[in-house]
Amino acid sequence: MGDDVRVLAPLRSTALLLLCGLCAALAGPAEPGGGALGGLLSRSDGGILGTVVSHEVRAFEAPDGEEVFFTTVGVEGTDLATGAPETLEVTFSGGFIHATRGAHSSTAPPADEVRTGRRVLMFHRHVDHIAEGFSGDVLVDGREGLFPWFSSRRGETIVQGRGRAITRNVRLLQLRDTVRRCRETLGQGR
Amino acid sequence: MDGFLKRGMTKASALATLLGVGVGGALARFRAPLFPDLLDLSGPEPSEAAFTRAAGLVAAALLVFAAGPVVRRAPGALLAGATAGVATSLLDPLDGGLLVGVAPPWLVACPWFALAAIVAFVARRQLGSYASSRVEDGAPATSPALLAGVLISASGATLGLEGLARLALRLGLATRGEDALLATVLMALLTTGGLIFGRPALRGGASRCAGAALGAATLSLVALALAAGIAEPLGFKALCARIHADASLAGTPTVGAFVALVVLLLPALAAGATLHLTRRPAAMAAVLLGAAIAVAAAPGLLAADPLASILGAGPGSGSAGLVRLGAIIGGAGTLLHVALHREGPRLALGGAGLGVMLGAAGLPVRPVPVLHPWEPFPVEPLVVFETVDGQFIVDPTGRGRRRASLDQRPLSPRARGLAGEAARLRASVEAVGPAPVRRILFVGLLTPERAQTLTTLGIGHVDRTAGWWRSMALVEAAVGTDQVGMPGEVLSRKVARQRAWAGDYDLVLAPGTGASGPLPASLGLRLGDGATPIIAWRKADRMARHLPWSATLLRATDGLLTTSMAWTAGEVFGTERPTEAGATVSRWEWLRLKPEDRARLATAEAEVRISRSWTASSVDRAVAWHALTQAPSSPFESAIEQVELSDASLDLLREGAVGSPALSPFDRGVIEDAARVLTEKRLVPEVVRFAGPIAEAHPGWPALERALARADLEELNPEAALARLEALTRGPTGQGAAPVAEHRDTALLRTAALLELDRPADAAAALRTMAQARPGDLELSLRLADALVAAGDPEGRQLAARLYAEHPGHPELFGLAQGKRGMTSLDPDPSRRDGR
Repeated sequence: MGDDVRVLAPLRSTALLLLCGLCAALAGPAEPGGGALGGLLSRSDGGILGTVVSHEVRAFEAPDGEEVFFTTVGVEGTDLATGAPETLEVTFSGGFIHATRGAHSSTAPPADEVRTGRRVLMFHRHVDHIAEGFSGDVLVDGREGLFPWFSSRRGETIVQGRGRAITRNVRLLQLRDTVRRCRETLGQGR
Repeated sequence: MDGFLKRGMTKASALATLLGVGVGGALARFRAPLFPDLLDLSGPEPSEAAFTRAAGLVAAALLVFAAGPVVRRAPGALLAGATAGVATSLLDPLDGGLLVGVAPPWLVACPWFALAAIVAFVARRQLGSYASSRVEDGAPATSPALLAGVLISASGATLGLEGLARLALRLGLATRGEDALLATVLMALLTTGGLIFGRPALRGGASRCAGAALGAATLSLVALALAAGIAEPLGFKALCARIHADASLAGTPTVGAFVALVVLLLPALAAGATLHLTRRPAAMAAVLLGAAIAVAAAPGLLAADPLASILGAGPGSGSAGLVRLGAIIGGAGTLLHVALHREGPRLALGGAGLGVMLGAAGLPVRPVPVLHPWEPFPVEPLVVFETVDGQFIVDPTGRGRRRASLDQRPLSPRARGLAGEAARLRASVEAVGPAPVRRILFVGLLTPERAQTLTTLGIGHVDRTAGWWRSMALVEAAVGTDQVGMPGEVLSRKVARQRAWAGDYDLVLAPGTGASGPLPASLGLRLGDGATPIIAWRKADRMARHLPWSATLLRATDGLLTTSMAWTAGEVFGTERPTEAGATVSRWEWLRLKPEDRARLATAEAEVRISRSWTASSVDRAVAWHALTQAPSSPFESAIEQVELSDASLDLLREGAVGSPALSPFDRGVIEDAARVLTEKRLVPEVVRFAGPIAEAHPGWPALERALARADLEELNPEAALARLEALTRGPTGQGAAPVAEHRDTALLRTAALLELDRPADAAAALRTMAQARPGDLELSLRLADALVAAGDPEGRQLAARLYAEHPGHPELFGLAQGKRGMTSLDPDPSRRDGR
């Protein structure tokens, strides 16, 4: 239905998937979606956990002459795996430049979840050619690659699970540990 | 002599234009119900609407006949004037896509009829001499009786246009605004057709007129094929793409006018030529009378579908059948004309008429279903059928429920609107004083959900009526109302009105969904002697600023921070509202908005108006602020995702709730809505910040306690959630008191908390009794199966397998049936398949 971003075909080998599955199994019962998380990680360059600080919609001309629209959000936070400070611009399809110029996308995250000030974990991947003359990081798996997070009253950072990759809420430290192990396994697989 | 003629022509053109403006303006406004009352909320009866329009056309025929020579001298100006007259109705005030005249339609049409009558009188006086001084073109004068063929041919052409217009209206979402727009497009095409095809023919006359009418009726069949192609969702999208629009713009003037243009183009151009070729007042009057007869007969012909009966072609073909019948009648009219007249191309005309008759009769015509032009995800309708009242569609809407619509207008809510509707029904009964409400007259469709809600409110007898009451039994059967067994009858509006006048009911209730007719002003709301309370709901997203608001206003929330208001009469306890005058919005201004933008504008205006009244509370102000901050949303977002929450409105709500010891049911509903939206959006810190202080100020508020328990669970603190929920179940009086009946949502949350605490056996025990008491509640049964599987109880897999057989394709049930918890998809990895 929507205008999906075409990303480069990721490297997928049977061995890699098996390793991801193994990684998921190692993640234990707190990560019931570990297998899918491995899949998501295999398709992404990493995750950024932070706050949305900017929001911009741009229009490009598609090969068929129609306009395509992309939203780019700036996220300021930390790298999911290492915890190192990071600022990144992540792009996904759809968006409106003004009320009558733009397009909705079935894969875009809900507008309310990516407005300035929202706390997000985004899995991203660099793409050389998003549109003509436009390269950068894209949101992997559309809305399936975005997870909200919050700080609990006990001071813990909790990533809210949903969909396939992270099905249940998980503490950030636990998720980071799982991601690191998964990354290591993926690195060995590559 | 030339100057004399030129002056005469100028004067004739001016008079013809004015006559046209008067006639067109009157026809656009002279529509049923002429004297609206509450029972017209669901729209006029088709026969009443048809007879009213036919009466308008007869009046127009008389005026044209009376005007005399002006028709002959400037037919193009007459048509152009009529187009302008019809187009002026686009500027009338309206009520959210559905026309509301604060004055009844007969009164609104009067000045236009008066203008036409005066112009006709002047024309007769001023131009009579010109008529006698010129040798008229066309056929020699014939007696009106000899115009019978023209009259019948015109009937056929009109019948074809009527059938096509019904389809075009459905494609354009069939709002009253679209109705006026379609009429304007039709008139513009008639004028263009007259100027292009009627004018070059130097000789007019009855034979050419009958031939052109036959052409219009025949071209309707071609247009029907076009309409059938557009009625397909892909066809509609392709059509929209031609004007650089998309299907989501259905309902806007650009798309509506373009649809009308494409569907009506061919027959309307031919019909315009027919009108132009009449040349003589008597012939034009005959054409208009033929149109009147066709319009009046259309509902009866559609219901009876005589051709299908004669040919034994099975069920009626609806509007498409009307088009075919029009072509046959057009052919018959041509044959009659040939029989009555000795001059003209009799053989050719007779042959053409006969050919069209035989061809149309042999043409296989099927109903043309018009589905919803755009849905985020494809929905396969369960039932689509057309009756004289329109096209009914019954769609599935979550958990085995059904939703009905008439000509794309909802008659019952989607699954997500059921909670709001239940709240409206409850508020209605609670507002009608201490006396019990046992018998009601329900203006609208009684669905199983409505019947169940009314039963729980103690109502034991529900009579139903609506403008489409003739089809009501069919629709009720399609949505499953007959399985509920609610006592009561489907009544014609006449009988319903009589019973209401006789005081047979404790309450007359219109639910607000499916209202398609004008909302009567205070002049029409009262039924009977005023002793019977009347409550007519109206969602806040329908424009109401120009309406006279009733002195007592009821309000209810729908679960998503949007509200409904009810106009009331009789003894109803609600909120007193000042009748602040509002500016009117032009219909054109309104039509230019997309339907969802209209809803947002109307909601904001209504809420702001209420918030400015002297009785407004901080909750009212918060609701107004919330309405003002809503923005356009992607149709791919869920209803919850589409709601924008602002800190300012939440702060207002919290402050108002904390500072007020006693909250009204409406205020409590708004606060619960806000807590629900925050919870569903999973904004955990915001839930705590909003609901925490209010729960402290109003201890034991179940909805807020549940929201806070959910927040505890989100924070991975199931101990706190369980403690909160158990305190809620014990009741507000603390230890020693009898435990209160546990709410379904509380039980589900308690189960989730126990599972998090790794106590699956306790979780299953907590849910078992409630799940067994409600076997149809999938969520309860699913969670019970999950808890049992977690506890290692084989009963869990059996239960899941049984449920999976009832709900094939459910991923979680599939997994549980194999002893695996938390499956979210049956596809091993969908992202691999689509190359992401």
